[in-house]
Amino acid sequence: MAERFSAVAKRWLYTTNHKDIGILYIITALFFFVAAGLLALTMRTQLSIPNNNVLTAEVYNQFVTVHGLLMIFWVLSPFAFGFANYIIPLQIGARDLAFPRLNAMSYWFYLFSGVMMILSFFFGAAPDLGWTLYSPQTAFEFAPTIGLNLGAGALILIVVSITMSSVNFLVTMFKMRAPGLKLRRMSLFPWSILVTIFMMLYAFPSFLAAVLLLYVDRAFGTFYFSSIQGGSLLWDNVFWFFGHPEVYIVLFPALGIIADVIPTFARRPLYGSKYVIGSLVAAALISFVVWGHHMFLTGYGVITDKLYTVTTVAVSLPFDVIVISLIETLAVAKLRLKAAALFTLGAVALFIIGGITGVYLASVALDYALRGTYFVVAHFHYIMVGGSIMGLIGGLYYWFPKITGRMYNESMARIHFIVSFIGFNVLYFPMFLLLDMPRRIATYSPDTGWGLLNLTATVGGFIFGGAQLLLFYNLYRSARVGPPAGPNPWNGWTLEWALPSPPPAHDFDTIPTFMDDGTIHFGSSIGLPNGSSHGIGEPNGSSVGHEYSSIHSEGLSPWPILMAFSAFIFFLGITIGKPASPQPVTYQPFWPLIADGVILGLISLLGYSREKFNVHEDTNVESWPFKQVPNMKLGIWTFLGAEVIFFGVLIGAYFFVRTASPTWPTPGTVFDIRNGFAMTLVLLTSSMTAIMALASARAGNKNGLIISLLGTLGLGGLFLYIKAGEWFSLGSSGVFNTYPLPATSYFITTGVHGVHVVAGMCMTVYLLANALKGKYIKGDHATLEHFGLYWHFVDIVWVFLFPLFYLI
Amino acid sequence: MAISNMQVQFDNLFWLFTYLAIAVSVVVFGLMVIFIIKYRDRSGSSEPHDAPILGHLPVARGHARTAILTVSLSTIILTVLIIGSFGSIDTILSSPAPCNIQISHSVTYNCSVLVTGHRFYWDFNYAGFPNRTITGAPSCQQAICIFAVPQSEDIRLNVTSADVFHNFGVIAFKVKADAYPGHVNFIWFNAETIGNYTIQCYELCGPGHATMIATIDVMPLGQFVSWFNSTIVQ
Repeated sequence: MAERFSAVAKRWLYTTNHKDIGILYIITALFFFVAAGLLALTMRTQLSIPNNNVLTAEVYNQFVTVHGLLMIFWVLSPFAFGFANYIIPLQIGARDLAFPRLNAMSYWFYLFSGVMMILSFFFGAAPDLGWTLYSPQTAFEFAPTIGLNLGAGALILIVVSITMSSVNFLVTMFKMRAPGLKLRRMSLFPWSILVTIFMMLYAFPSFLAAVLLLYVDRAFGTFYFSSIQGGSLLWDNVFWFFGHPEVYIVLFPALGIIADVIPTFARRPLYGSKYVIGSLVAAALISFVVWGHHMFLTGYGVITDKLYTVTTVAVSLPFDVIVISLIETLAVAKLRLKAAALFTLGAVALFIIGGITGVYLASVALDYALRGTYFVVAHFHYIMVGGSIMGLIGGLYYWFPKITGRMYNESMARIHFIVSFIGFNVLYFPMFLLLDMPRRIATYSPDTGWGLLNLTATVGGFIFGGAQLLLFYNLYRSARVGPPAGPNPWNGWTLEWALPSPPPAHDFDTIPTFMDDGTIHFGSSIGLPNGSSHGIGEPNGSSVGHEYSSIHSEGLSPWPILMAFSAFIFFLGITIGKPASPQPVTYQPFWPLIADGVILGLISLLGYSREKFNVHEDTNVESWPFKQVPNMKLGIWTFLGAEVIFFGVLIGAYFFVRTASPTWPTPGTVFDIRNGFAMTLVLLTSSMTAIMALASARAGNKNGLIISLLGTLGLGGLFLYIKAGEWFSLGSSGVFNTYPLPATSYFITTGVHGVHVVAGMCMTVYLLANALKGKYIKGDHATLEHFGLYWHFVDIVWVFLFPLFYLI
Repeated sequence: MAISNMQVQFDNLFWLFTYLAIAVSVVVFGLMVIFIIKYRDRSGSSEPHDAPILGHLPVARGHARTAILTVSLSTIILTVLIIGSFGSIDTILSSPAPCNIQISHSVTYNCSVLVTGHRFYWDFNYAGFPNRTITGAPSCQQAICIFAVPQSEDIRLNVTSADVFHNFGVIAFKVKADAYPGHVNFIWFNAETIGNYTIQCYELCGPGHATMIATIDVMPLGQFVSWFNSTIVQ
């Protein structure tokens, strides 16, 4: 028994299999869904009658904030990416994600970050200023609890998780598609995920930069958000540049599911499939130029307001095309109204209402009345719960038979839909009518006349919440005793339905092939009979299949979870430390935990890199447009793309406060140009030595390689030595008092750059150790090349920072 | 009933949006319901000729003209809404001329007010009288706590904050402005009906957010002048 338990525990804790990780994501997301839902029900109880006192205002504000943060970051996206993890490799015929251990690490970072967010309730108080974390409420002066530090730490961890997984998915989907599966042949779910990861890659680094600046302000008393020049406006811009794409990030995967499920149950192909894909891409692009509509009342002036009204209204056009195509798909169909179909059709209906009311909010004129009211709350819940959650539940019913191999109870699922749909509208429709009631108020007086509508909404909330018990009961029970589902219960065409339910650990024995005539070949069985739903894709024991079936059995690794755990400990140590004095804030982190985190992190990093973990790279797969680029290199490039945005936002913040400041020190008065010049020279030279290292490795010259690497390491060290000297002399000269904002931007930007240099030097040490053992000189120099990309990037960033701080 | 010029303008625009929204919803939901009922799976209904099946890519279906038609129709509707919005926003962001109310023979008032948000109350300073501060909070009912404005005048508010991010909103007037430190936002209205109206904060600013309420009292001009004389001028 104990042995069996430890085997099960080991499988789930150490797994790197995309299907296991998908299941973990789905279950964890549902757990956070329940937690955040209970917070919401408590808030609805508080608001059910005027002057209620179930919750104090302090606790209410914490609930409202954590509810929002959990639902947006820890429920909507991870729920969708649970499906993406499980289904996408099957649908594109990849054997797993490109980097299975990185995928496991993403999951564990996600789980621990959520734990950290919930822990914040137990350290003073959870964040209590709304999920938008508006500045300057985040300043230490107004939010003195450790809870907000924990919240910021949790957000940093989940951004790390999301960045790792978007790099992973991007490489997988570009490089590992089955032969003949051109991008435009993918169905809508993989397409929606592809568009989503692009948005993630460009939106989340901005958010990471914002949270980092916020955190440094709180921990070290810097001035980005506590100053008038930065303050509210800087946060608003940086946050909403991320925030609006984020709205589509949580919506698109559900739209993709909807657009795949409806055709399956309607028995007709998606109407205007390529226009739907085009619309997704268009909406994603426009989503990056609409953030101003979250600031209509911030006072940007007529021209800006009108411009953002037009872009925001324009973003509704692609969604019109998507909705019309979905409805048109039903024409001359044979629509089977199973639970998955009901939920996805219901999601479309609710999404339409949410979309139409979104046009109201796009109008700056109406915003002068509707901003900050329950009309907004109603609107985005129609999108996020109505569109996303309902669509994702549709996906859950759709793929449940594939994942568990068993059928759920269809009548119970239909009742679940009807009660959910009614409960949803009773809950959220009254909020449209509460268009005068401010959001996030903990209570209201009876003479406002808001009582009846609020009571109605609360009743609806309990109906909707209670209905979800049917879902959990149904799935829990059916997973054990439901009748066997067979491989293709819905008669779907996408690749996952060709496998047995549940699929074997190694997925396909042989990778399916997409032929030019539109047929798909699964292994040896060629030309499937029309409408056949059985016996497809059974293991057929070909020699190729045999080779692949062994991949996953050894795919256990303890390092991803350990790495995530050490990051968790490290951030816990940083965040739960006590402020030593409130004004000016000096900060005392909890060193024992930080030390534990660093040691454990180094151990797991070492274990991770030394572990023999084979990932097969196929050469005959569809990988346009990156045919010549190995997976790892594409991953590095993608990661560096995200880094560009990250540094771009840091530099943008610098320009923001600089242009808002009436005065700025003239060059040479604060930061010594000679220091800057020396550091530039040193770092550029180190790029040369990095190139020489690669050249030596290519030439098979071990000594040359070692000397070049030592040179790179030494020059990196010299750079840091000069930097540290400058830091200490500036720090002791009281520059924060004389030049608060120049000092803030200098220390944060060069500090983040310095951390990148340190990381690069750690990699150099690792490379040196391997080079001394004779590696890299026999044509195996790919790692050196990847390091070079990173190192040159770090140097190029400095080439931008040097003039910013020293010359202009 | 006309309470303020901004409220009348909001109502007109809101109903324009709502009529068009209802029209669009009737078409879209109508189509959806008809399709769902008409094309649902019944005994005897046959499999469509292009039904997607495993082993084949689905047949391409749909015309560019549907997408073009959808975008064109939407663009027409949205253009109407944009034009309506632009008309309103020009009014909202315009800057009306100062009024000139004779308070006494030596004192005039120009209808401008500086509004400052604090955790968790509002301060009002009438232009020209920076030393007399009206503090609006629900607990306070004296003359010094009433934010009075004259009826049928263009009242110009400069809104800012002394601490965190607030949002100043007069519910019935449909007027709002973000209030955050270091920045002054301008907003104006013309109150047409005498009476007391509620001011509330529309941005979460802390535990007192829900009770950050003040009252605005719209008075006939004569009453305003005497109130101003006794409370502000002194």
